[in-house]
Amino acid sequence: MQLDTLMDQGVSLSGHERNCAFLNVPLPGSETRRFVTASAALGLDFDDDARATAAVDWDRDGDLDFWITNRTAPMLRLVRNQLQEQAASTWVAFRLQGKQSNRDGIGARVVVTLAEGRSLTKTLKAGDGFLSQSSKWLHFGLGSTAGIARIEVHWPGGARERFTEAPLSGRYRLVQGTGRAQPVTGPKTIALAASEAPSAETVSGTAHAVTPSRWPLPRLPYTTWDGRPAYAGGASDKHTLVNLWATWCVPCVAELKAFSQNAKALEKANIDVVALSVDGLQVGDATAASDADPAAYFRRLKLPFTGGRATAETVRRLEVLYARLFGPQWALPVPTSVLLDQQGAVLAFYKGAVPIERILTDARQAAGAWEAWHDASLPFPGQWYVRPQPLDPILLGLDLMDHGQVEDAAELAQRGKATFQARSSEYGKLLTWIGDGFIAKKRPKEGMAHYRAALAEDDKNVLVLNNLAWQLATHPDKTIRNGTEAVRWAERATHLTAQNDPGVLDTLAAAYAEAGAFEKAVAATQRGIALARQQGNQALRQSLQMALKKYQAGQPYAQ
Amino acid sequence: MSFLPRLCLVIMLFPCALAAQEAPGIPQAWRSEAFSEVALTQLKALGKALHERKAPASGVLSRTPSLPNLRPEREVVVDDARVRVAFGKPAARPAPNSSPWAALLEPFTETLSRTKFKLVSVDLSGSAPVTDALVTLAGKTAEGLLEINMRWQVTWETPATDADVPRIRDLELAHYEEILVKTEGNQPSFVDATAAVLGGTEAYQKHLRHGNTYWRQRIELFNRFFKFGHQGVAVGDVNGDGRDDVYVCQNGGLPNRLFVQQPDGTAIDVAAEMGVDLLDLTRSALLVDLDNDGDQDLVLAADTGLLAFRNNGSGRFEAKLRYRPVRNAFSVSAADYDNDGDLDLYVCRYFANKDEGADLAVPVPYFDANNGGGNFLIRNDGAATTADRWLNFTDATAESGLAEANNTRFSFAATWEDVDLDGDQDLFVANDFGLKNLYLNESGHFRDHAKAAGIDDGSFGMSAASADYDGDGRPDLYAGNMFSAAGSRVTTQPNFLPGTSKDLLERSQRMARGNSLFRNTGRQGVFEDVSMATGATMGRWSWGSIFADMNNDGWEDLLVANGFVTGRVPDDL
Repeated sequence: MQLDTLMDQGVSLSGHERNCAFLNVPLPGSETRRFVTASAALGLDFDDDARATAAVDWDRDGDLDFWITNRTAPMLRLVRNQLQEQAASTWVAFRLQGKQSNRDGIGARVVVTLAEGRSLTKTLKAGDGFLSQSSKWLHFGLGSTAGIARIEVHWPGGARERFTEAPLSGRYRLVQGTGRAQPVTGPKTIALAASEAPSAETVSGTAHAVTPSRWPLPRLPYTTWDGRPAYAGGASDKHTLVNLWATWCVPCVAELKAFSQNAKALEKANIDVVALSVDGLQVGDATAASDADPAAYFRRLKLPFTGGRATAETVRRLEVLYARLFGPQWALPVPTSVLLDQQGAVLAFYKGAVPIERILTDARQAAGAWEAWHDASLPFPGQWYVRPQPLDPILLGLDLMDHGQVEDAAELAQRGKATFQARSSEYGKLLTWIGDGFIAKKRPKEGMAHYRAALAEDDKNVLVLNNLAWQLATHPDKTIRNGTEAVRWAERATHLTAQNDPGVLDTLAAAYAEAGAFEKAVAATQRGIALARQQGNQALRQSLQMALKKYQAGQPYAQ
Repeated sequence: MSFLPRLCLVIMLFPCALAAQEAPGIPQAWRSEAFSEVALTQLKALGKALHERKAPASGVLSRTPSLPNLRPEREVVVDDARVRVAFGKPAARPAPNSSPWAALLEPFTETLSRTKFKLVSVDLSGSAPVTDALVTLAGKTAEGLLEINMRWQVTWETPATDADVPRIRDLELAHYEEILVKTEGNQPSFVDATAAVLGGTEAYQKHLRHGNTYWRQRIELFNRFFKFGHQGVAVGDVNGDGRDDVYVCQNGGLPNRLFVQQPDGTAIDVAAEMGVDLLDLTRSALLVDLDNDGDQDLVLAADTGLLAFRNNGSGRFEAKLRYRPVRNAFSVSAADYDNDGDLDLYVCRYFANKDEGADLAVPVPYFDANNGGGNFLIRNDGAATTADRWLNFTDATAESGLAEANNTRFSFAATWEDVDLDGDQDLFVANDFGLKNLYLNESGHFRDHAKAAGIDDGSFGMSAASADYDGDGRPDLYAGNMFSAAGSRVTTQPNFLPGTSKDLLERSQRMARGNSLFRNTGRQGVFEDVSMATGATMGRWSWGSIFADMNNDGWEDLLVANGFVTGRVPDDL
């Protein structure tokens, strides 16, 4: 979904379109009608991403006003029609009441015939347009008519009923079976005070959000002031507030000073601060090329926290986290901070400077029951009919593997195990991928440990069974090889593939050979060769034939 | 081929893969897009000059441009206390001894507040490039607010060198309309009164004054918070005091609001008090009397199911029904389809659930997709016999025949209307990525009559409405559709997707054409597509599109809400 991504990056698609209004006018030289665009002339051309439209004579002055919902701010508008104040015209409005028909009279068609002979027809609806329901008062504008000659209601089901005439410009109730339009004397016209139209908002990138998803965050690599690689986040005996700042960023420095002044309160709340400078990195809307030495600057401020230089990867990981939790894929502003718990899971994400009280409150609320914390994370109270559950955080791990960060993925998979197990069906796959990554890096012990962990999640994963057995059967380091165990996994993989996968049979044969069972190895290889030939897999067939020679000579694969 | 991704975006919903297969067509389409960008820049320069009440600079016009009278002789078709509407008459040209620019500006005696150009076609096949542009000028006169809408067909002088820009050589006025809305004190007919009504509420001041993007940065996705902001509204009198109130649906994680009108016209939010301040993603709502007891019950098309609440008549809505199969619901509309005296519900669904076998949300084929969510017809069977239950509802989708009648399109909206005037309620459904449905009701059984009715145009529908626009007593149909100027330009290129069938090509062009108006001919549910002839297409990227008589003249006007996504980046795709 390329368009989707672009919109997440802030691009417009048919944006800044002004609402349209068409007036129904006679078509010259014909009996019929056409529409002219009068959006600006009527004052209805709001520059909103508008959605639903409902008509109602809200102020009961005899003309139709509109409630309109928007995607953009404001998300709701009442647009008032001043027509009647400016030039009064005749109208009539009916509220139906069914007896045999449904009580609201939904579906009834009302025909008003004017003294001049023209008929106006309207149907009462419950739901039309887009996601909208207009008023059940059927409003008839009557122009400059001399009067109403006839009112007829076609009730749903087909029954027709005539109602006695109603005087102009009033509200009437039409009750099925009564035949008489009853005037409604109820609420009178009201004069609404003039008010300023709410304007569209320029959305800033600053936002503070609590994240009850509590996703395990990959640890964040940075460089210490003396140039050594280090990590922020991860498991710790304290909460961690990781803060991105820069020497050129005035609010950053003010925020760091505020943290410093409140160092005691932070300590009391068991929160460590790690302040990472982004000087020289591409952050926000521009690259902050800066000559300043953030280390010297940091020391000069005498900040009682850990400091260091963020790397591009630090920023990238936070951007991925934000995009996965909230959707927008914009560059993060500085300062940006994340609040992490002792397991390195995210409790809150702060884009822009954050007051110390906010951090303390958020840390405190996260310690409570999850549902209460979830409620508190939302801007307004309300009730859930069905409370939603946090999303699967596995994408954070997969993203690390996509970027070749095997060690950090392994650390995340281990630290976030409970969360992954509870929420992800893909945890085993992540572990497998990590296992593959370690094998590729020639770190077979870690690789096989991850394969075993993957099997603990899903012991029917043929790929893992096969890969693990292959390492155990063929690894050049004999301390890693274990023929007996290799046979166990390879036989299971063979069973799960009904002896029909030549690649798995290749592994099975190597396992047998490593365990000294050469006859079985030969049989499995021959079956593999036959299958590879059938499938036209030339490369595998050749490699199986080479292995076959070894096994026939009583040699294991690894020699 | 660095232009390839850009092209895919311009034509929007055409799958990139399809465009890529048709590589030979791309250079032509791309060239026309490049030209349209330059031409639009020139027209905007012209617009700027008009704003300054000057003739356009020489860089925009050729040395001897052929121009018509830009404000031709007019035929006035309406002139009442409120509006004056006139159409331009075709006139001989050129206008002698007068500047056509001054003539165009002349009626804007007070101000010219806006000029807007939208290029809808580019033709590079002839000796000189020709473009079609929709042009709007809006401003004030002593009498009121004036709007002039035109269609300019411009023939451009081909630039001599690559560095040069095209200039206007010839301008034809293909359409001219002038609308004056007479006002007092220069107040427009419609004014925003949101703050006057809701200004005293926290719901407005702290919540609704912000937009989707503001909240999206603060509410996690798992709350089912969606960026497209498809939130509906329902008007009804929830407390029986004779005043209409309004229920406002909200995104996941933000509470729905129920604004109850006070005697002075202001409103207060009583959603929590009445028990309907739901945080669940809600797309639409209905206030209807489901149990015929005289008060308004509430139906919600929520992400988690179709929900119904009984109005207990003393200030509370009681949750009575959650129909779980109806997930991802978009809109809900009510009518008594079986004429048994109570209201039944029709629910449109867009995406299918995973358990309906839909792992992929990709509409296939994109011009006639039938792999969306199944719509539901929920029949109201009246009061339940057991005391603990309220009403009996039955899923009637299958037995009514709907399940077998193109039921799984990407449906956004539906409206009930007795289109064949036979006394029962028929159903008009607007679908994205495909054709519309018109279900004729035959004793409670439905079949899709859209093709025979002549309303199966290929435009992507967003909204469904009906009313008698031409005063013949028969309901006509209107659908808000997707419109894209870029889409119109690209799909009308001679080399657009070469080898494509004529049918598919026409569909593609219709797709971006704009809104549809279908006139009821009175012949057994047969309609005539009068969209272009009536001038009702240009609603832009339309959502809610409803009929309403805005000026009380007894004729149904149209209000069209539009705009898809306005992002942080000002330029559109």
